[in-house]
Amino acid sequence: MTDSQASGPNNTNRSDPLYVGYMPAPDEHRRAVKRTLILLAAWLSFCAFTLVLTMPSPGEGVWENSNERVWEGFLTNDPYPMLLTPEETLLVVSMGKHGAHDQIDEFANSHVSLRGYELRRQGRRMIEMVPDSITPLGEAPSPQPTLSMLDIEPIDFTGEIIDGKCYLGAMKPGNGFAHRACAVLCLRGGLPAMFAEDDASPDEPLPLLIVDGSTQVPEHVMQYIATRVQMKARRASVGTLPVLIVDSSTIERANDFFGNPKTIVIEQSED
Amino acid sequence: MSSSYRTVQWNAHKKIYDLTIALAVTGFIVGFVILSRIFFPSPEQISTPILLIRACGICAILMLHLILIIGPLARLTPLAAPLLYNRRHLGVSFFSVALIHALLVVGFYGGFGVQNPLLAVLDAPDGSVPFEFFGFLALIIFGLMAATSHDFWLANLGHAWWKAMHMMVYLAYILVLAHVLFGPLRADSNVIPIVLISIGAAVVLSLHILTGTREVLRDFRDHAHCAQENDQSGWVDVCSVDDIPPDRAKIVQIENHERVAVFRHNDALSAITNICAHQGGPLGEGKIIDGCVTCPWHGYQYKPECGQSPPPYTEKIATYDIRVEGRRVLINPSPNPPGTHTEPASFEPWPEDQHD
Repeated sequence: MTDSQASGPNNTNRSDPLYVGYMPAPDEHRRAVKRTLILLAAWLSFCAFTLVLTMPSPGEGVWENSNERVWEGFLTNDPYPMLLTPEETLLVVSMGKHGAHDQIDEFANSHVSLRGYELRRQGRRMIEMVPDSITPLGEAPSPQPTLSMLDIEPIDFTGEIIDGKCYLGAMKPGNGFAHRACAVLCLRGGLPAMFAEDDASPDEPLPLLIVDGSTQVPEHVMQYIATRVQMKARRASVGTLPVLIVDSSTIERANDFFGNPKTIVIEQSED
Repeated sequence: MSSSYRTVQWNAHKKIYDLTIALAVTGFIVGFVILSRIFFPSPEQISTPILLIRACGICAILMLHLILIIGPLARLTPLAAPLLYNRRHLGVSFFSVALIHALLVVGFYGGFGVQNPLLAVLDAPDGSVPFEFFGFLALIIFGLMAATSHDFWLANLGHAWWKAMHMMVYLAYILVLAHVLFGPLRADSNVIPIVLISIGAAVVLSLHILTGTREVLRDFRDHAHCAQENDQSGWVDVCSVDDIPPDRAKIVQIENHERVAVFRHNDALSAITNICAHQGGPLGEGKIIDGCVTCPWHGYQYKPECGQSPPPYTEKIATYDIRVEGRRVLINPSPNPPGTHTEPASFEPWPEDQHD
C-alpha cells in the first residue's frame, strides 16, 4: 500500500482500533509501543550490566606492542626459542600466531641483540620479535642452557593448557573455551604451550609445556586445549624458565559440560 | 502491498521502527564496551576486539529472542501488531549484527596464523564439540532468510516455499543455543548467562505453546460446531450474524477445509479465505477499512465481495458463496477461484445495530 493511501479516515474508530502500518497508529497501540520500548530498554540495560559485572577478569597480562625495545643475550632454539640474559630466560616468538624457530635457526646458540615488544604476566616475560632484527654480537660468555629435572616421578597438575602468547597479554582473555580456535591456531603455528595451573599464585611463573618430548603440541592433544585438564607431569627448568614435562597419555579432561569429573582416554595417533 | 517492487516502501512507521533498532543496537554495543572499560580498568582491560565480539554476540541473541517472541505475541494480543509490522527489518538488522560478530571472530581468533582464517575457526580438533560450526550453520540460515526477506522473493518463490524456508529460523535458533551452551558458556563458572538464556528460551517456548494450544482449541471448537450443523446440501451453518461485529469477521474452520473469514460490512456478509496472499496473515483478525478487508499484519487490502485488491494492486484471494437464513450464516465450503465475485448476503440488522 502506498503512502498516498495512508490517510485512513475510517481507521480512527476508537472503540475498535486496528493497527495498519501505513496509517496513523491508534492511541492504544501507541501506548503499548511506548510501554514495550521502556521494558525493552530496561531489559537491555539489565542484561548489559549483569553480563559485564559477572564477566571473569582476563588477568593482568600486558602486551607493550607500541614500545619497541632491545634485548641482549644468548639465543637458543632448544627446547624452545629463548633468550637467556644474566637475569632471566625469555621466550621468543614471532609476530602474529607464529613461532620464531625459523628466524632463530641461523643465530641459535650465539650471543645476539634483538628488537621486539614485551609481553608479561605472572612474572613470566616473552619477547615478540621484530622480523630480521637479530644482530650477532660476537664472542661473549655463553651460558649453556640445560634442562634440569626437579622431579623423579610425575606429579598431578590440574589447569588449562594455554597458548603462551595470548595468555601473557596478546589476547585478553587469552584462555577459556571461547578462545579455543585461536589457541589451537597459535599452537599449530608454533607458539609455546604453557600451563595455567588452578589456584596458582599470581606471582608463580607460568611453566613451558613439553608434551611427548616436544614443545610442539601433538595434534591429538589439541582437543584438550582451552579446557580444564588433569595430567601427570615432571617439573624441570631451563635457566629461570620453569618447565613441565608431560606424557600425553596422562592428560584427561577435568570436568564435563556440567562440571563433573570425566576421564577420557587419549588415543595415540600413529604419527 | 505494491504494484511494483521497491527496495523498501518507506513510511513514517518504518522509519521510526528502523531508527529505534539502530539506536538500540548501537546503544547496547557502545554501552557494553563502556561498562566493560569502567569495571575492568587497565591492566585487567579486556581486548577491544573481544569486547566487540561479546557485545555483538549478546546483542544478536537478544534480538533473536525478540524476533521469535513477536510472532506469538501478535497472535495473543493485537497491541503487538506494531512490532510485527516491520519485523523483517529487525531480522535483517539481527543478521547484520550476527555477521559482524562472526567476522570479528574469524578475523581475530582465526586470523594472523598458519591457516585460512575461516577454516581455522571451523576446524575444531577431533574429539571436541564444534560449537563454532553450529554458529556458522545458523548464520548461513539467517543469511538465507535475510537475503530472501524481500517481497520479490515472497512472490517468486511462492508463499508456501517462502514460509517453509523461513520456518528454518527454529532450527537456526537451536543451533544458536548449542553454539552458546557448548561454546563460551561451557564449563563457565558464571551461571548468569546460562540463567538469562534459559529465561529467553523458556519465554519463546511458552509463548509458542500457548499460541499453538489456543489455535488448536479454536479449530477443535469450530470443527465440533460445524460437524453438527452441516446440512445435506453441502452448505455449512457456521454462525449467527449476531456473532460478527460490524466491519469485523468471524473465523470459522470447516472440517477438511482451510479457515474462512466471514466479514460483516454495511448489513451484508462476505466470506473469503482467512489467508492473506502476502505472508499468510490471518485476514479474519483484520478489519474493513475504506470498504476493504485489511490484513492485520502488513495492511494488505481486498474487496470482501471479490477478494481482489483495489487497483492498481493485483493480489487476489479465494472467496466463498454465502447466504443467510433467518439469522444463521451458511457458506459453501468449496472455495471459488481467487478474485471471483460473490454476492454479499444481506440481513436485517437489529435496531441497535442501525449505526453500522
